[in-house]
Amino acid sequence: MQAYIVQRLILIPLTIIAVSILVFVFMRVIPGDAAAVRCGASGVADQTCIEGLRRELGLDICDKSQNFFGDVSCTAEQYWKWVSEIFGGDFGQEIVPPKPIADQLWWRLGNTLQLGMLSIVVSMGIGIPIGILSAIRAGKLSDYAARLFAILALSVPNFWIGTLIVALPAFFWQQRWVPDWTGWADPGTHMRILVIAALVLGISSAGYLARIARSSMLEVMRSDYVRTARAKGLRETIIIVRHTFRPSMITVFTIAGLQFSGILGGSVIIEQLFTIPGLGAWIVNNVGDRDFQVIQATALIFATWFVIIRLLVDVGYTYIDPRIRY
Amino acid sequence: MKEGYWGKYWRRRVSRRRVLAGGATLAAGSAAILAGCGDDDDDDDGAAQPAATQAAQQQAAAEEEATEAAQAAAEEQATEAAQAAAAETEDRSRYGGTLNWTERAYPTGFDPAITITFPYGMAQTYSQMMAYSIVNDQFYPDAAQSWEQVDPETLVFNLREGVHYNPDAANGRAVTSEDWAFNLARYPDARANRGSNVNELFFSFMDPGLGATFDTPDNLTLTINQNKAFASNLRAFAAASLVVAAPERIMAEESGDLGQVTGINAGTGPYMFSGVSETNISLRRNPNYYPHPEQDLPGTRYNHDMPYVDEMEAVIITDGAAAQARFLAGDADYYGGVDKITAEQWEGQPNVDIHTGPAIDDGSRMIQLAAAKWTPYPELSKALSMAMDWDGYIDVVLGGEGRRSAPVSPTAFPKYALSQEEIREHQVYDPQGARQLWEANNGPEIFPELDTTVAAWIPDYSYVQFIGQSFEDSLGVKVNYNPLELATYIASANGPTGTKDWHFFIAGNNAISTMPDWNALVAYTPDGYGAIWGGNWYKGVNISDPWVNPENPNYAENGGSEAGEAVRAALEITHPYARELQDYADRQAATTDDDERAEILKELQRRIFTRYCCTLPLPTGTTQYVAVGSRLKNLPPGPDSNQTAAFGMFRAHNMWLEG
Repeated sequence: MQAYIVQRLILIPLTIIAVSILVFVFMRVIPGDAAAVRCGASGVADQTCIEGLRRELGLDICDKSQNFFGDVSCTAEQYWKWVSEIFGGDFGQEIVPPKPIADQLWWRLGNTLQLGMLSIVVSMGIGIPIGILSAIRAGKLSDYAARLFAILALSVPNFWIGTLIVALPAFFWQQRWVPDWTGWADPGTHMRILVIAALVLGISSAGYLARIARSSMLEVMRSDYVRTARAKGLRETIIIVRHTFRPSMITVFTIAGLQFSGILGGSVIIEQLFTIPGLGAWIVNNVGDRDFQVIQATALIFATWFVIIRLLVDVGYTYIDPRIRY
Repeated sequence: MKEGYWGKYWRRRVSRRRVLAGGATLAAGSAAILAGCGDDDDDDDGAAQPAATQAAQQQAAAEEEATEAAQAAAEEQATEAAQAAAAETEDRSRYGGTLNWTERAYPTGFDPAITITFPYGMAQTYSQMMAYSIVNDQFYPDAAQSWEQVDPETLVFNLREGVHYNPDAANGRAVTSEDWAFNLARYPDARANRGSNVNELFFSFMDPGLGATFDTPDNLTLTINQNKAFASNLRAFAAASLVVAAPERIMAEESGDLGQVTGINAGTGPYMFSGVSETNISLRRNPNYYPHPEQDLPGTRYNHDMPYVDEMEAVIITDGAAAQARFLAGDADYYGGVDKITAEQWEGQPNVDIHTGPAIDDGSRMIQLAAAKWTPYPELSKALSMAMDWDGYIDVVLGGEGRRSAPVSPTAFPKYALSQEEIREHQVYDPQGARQLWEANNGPEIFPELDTTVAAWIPDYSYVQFIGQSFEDSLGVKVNYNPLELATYIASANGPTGTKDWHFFIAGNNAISTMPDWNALVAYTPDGYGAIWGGNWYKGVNISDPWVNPENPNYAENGGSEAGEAVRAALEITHPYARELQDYADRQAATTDDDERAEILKELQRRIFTRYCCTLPLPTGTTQYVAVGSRLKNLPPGPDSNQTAAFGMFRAHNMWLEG
């Protein structure tokens, strides 16, 4: 087990490096230029402005390259410069507003993490009980109701639910269920925003988890050892809690881990809608501005987050099912 | 810094109205006391001589009359004093509150000479020479006390005494004519350092690089020796973007501009930045703000001492639905211009007041054609005009309430505008004729498809689709829509001629209301001396020089490139027509005869209409709808209400917040 964890820990930086290379290269391949956008947005698109800003941003380094190998070598040099600066804690400078990225990165990461964690709590707290209930009461009215919930939660896009939550109370009752962002300066408002956003974000994951939990539970409940337990005369509660629940949770846990990264993706829209200053909203704004430094930094954070969650899920398997050995 | 409780009382004591009211009460009281203490002659001796008696009677009558007059005057003064006191109380109750609005994106900068994305904030934190009311067609003194156009090329400003920077700017020192000279010289030049093309267009008449000079005989006198006549120069000085900033604050910045510094306090406006974060921007009162004694001028929007509103806050919300919700819930006091359909939907909302007034074409839209692509093919751009269902646009997009539009707004400048009948003669919807013209001139080969960009942050771009559908139906050409974010959208629009990746896009027109010639140049000149959409010329130099001039040090990198070829070819095509329009513009700006100016401006517009390039003005609503929160009172009327470049919404001091 320990060897496995060490092996995975070694793989984490390699994965992150691979992601960083991909992000770095893609940001240079897509059309558009941060300098052109910045100069254009301020009403100017002339060469003086663009060239000045390109120099400032270090985008001019590779302009002199005339061939493929020259380009590769120069891009590698740029990449190395970027990576070394990150190791020094310098993620670069955001273009609008002109502030160090590191100043905002951790603060925004904190907001997104809070949203993500709460969403997972919502997703698992709603999805797993409903899935279990649906499996135990299979074929009965409550099962149908649970399955209807799962289908609805899966099929209704969360941004649509979010838009309704934002727009309808304001239009009909002149109320905002989601007020302006205050952060922890006002804990009540802060939690209100996060809980509503987490409900919206986690509800579709809850639907998916409910379906997975139901099918997984049903599969385990039909296994030979459960039949044997019933034949022994064990009470149904003990069979479900002690013999069925844990093994059926392996699949659910795997899916929940994967969904955590999905929730991160969903936060891109939900943060925008609920005006939560997190990484998702940040990346959306800066994709438009072609602010490559912010995009690279956030993509790197997302990748790191993803591989750490994957590691935790894998390690968690051994706790849920001791039969699993690495 | 918030006004303290006692601070309000202190301010009460020194207010002009309060002094007047107190004085009036004192005068009335004194008159009444004097009347009451007057000598009574009823006990005069009856043996007095007849003449003396007559004289005495006359004197008594005179005294009685005097007493009655004094009593009447005292009563009148007492009534006036009571009214003044009541008005004062009402007036004082208007002070306070935080005016809140929503910004849809973080400003791209905070330098007034450069920033084009935070006009409200700039208008509040800086001062301009004067303000202008479209409604009254009148200028009002602001940082300048008075001005004189000595001759068409000489303008003298007498600056207001007592104008100081806010405490965080230059230690709150007094503004001098040297400061203004520094700023004015910088405006045309700011473009070279991340400035705006618009600057060059607005302000080239005072560009030192083109021969303009500034004389500052004393601290309060500024003489501008223009390099050329510019008929709209006073309106330029009323623009909220032409302001004075503390030179030392500008010079202190490494980049040479304030654009890189968020929320810098460098101005003299009624407010100053108190907090700038990623989510909101707050303004508080500038304690050094100067009084405006000309508060009684008809139509003024200034208070004597300061604006009623204490603080301002802009919350940055990029999502459209969230921004609307914030406004409808009453958390924002200002939303801005809305279309008729939205106005009807919001009518009756408890927190919303819809103000209507005659539309002034501010915010009207135009079909902007990429100059380099269309200038060589006037027949094809004419076919586009014929393919457009102009009246259908009024019916569908404007809810049946609209009129044809032209470069000069008939609401703001009726004398300079073309008649509706004449515009209709130029804009004829003829789909069959359009298709024939399109095909006869190889339209399908030259433009097999048309690309356009749309603003991704505006959820509804059905108006673009209506236009695209008109082109598709009439010409049989496919139209592709490319949604772009704010910065990319503007950058895409502003790209040098020849590098634009669209065939047409729908541009908003934001300055027509205050300068009749501005719009004609900015929006309609394909390659003028500062035209924003195709701008290639600056101080007589082609800014695309690195691409087209073999002697340019950067030519080797750019000149031989595909983009360089495109730019060069585009300029050869667009330049002659641009110069033609520029000549009209210069002629109308140089004339001192208003009738002659009107005729030249009309000629200019006719030329634009008959050339069909490179802008086709879209119909505009006849009524302007502005949505504000119901607690915001005394919004400037009609066309002034939504203007930032005029004496409008965010420069009106006498708006207040109820409750």
